[in-house]
Amino acid sequence: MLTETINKHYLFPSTLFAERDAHVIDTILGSCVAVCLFDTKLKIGGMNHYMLPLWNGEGLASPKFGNIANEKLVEKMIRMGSHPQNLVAKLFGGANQINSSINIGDRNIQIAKEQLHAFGIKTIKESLGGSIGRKIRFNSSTGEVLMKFLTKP
Amino acid sequence: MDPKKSDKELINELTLRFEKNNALLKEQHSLLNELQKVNKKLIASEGLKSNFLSNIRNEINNPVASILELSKNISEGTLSVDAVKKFASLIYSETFSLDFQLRNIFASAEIEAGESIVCPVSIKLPSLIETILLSFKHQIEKKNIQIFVSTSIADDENFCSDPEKLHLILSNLISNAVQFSREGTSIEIKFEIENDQFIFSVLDNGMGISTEEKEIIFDRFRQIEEGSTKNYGGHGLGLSITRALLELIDGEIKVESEKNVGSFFSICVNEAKESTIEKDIYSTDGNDFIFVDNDSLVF
Repeated sequence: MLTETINKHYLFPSTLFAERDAHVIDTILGSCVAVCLFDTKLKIGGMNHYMLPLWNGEGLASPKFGNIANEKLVEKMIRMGSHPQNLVAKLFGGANQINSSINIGDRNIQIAKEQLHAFGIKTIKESLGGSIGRKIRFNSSTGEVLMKFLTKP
Repeated sequence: MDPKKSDKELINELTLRFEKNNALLKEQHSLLNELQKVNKKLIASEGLKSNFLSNIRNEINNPVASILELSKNISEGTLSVDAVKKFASLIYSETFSLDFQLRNIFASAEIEAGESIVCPVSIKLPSLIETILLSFKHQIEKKNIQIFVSTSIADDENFCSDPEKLHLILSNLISNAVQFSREGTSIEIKFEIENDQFIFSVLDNGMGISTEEKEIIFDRFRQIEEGSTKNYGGHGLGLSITRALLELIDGEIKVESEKNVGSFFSICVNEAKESTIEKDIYSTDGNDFIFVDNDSLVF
């Protein structure tokens, strides 16, 4: 993947990114989940990065929460001209921290799967769960994702 | 079940199972309670959101109406120089509060859209804080409030973070302190850099916050006083934005307060590492992704 000539974007947690221009989107995931959506017809893509599964009415209704992040990402792709049936998804993250009993990672994964299913978007690739963080790089014009596990803690 | 077990063993087994069942039921019950609570909150939040425009109508309409009227008077050209000065200063303070409100509204829209981007650079904190205090000079003087600022940060010391976000965070904290202070009281502001952390606190002698109210002040569109008869302006976005922005720039907020005595808000922000941002985040060589071991994958 040539990265010298293409726009780059680092995706911070609680944000999402989708633009028509080709971008390489980088992010680092622990228990967070990132959903990469790619339009196979228009060759455009977008990605989110959320930390918790559900917004519970506290604070702002931001894409920090899976249910909001996934909905907003799909909406944004549709605004850019995508039809949901042309969208495919790749899912990453959701590692469970060893000392955590509530398994945020698992619940983050679950919400992505449920919502994508409801939108009728097929998940074609995934690397989820486990206990090790991931670093991913998504090329929004090809849909290709490079992933590397972070060094073990 | 093992037929060889004695009656006593059977009873024990059954008791154990009943206990387990009961525990499960209890858990289910508490989960349901939790769910109902969240549901109520969401309904309330959505209600507030749909009332948002009518809630902020006064906040926007009133300043615009005064600005229109004042500027019309000035443009008629019949006023004395002193009157023009006075009107211009009123226009300034109305526009300032309007601008502040709009910046909050846009910031919250940006955060909720997930499009708030963090751009860390070197900041000179004392001058940033001085600029913010200067911008609130009008309101501070109007309420005859004394501000005490103390810091040990040297004027030329740098701190790496997102200045725009920090500006809005500090503006909201200072604005709240001024707004909720009684006339003629004082506000204490302290800030330091310790262990690569920026620590900022503001102490006011205002209306204060009770323990129950501490829960709601960070929720969007929520203020302690609500409805058309409230004494204080604003639309209840400031602190929810402050907390969300702090999360984005790797910081947190704490509040201590006593009703009718005053409030103490403190934030601490971890310094963004310029070097890691350059190297890690905008890595151009792609070396991090060369697949020499089994850990790396292409999807």
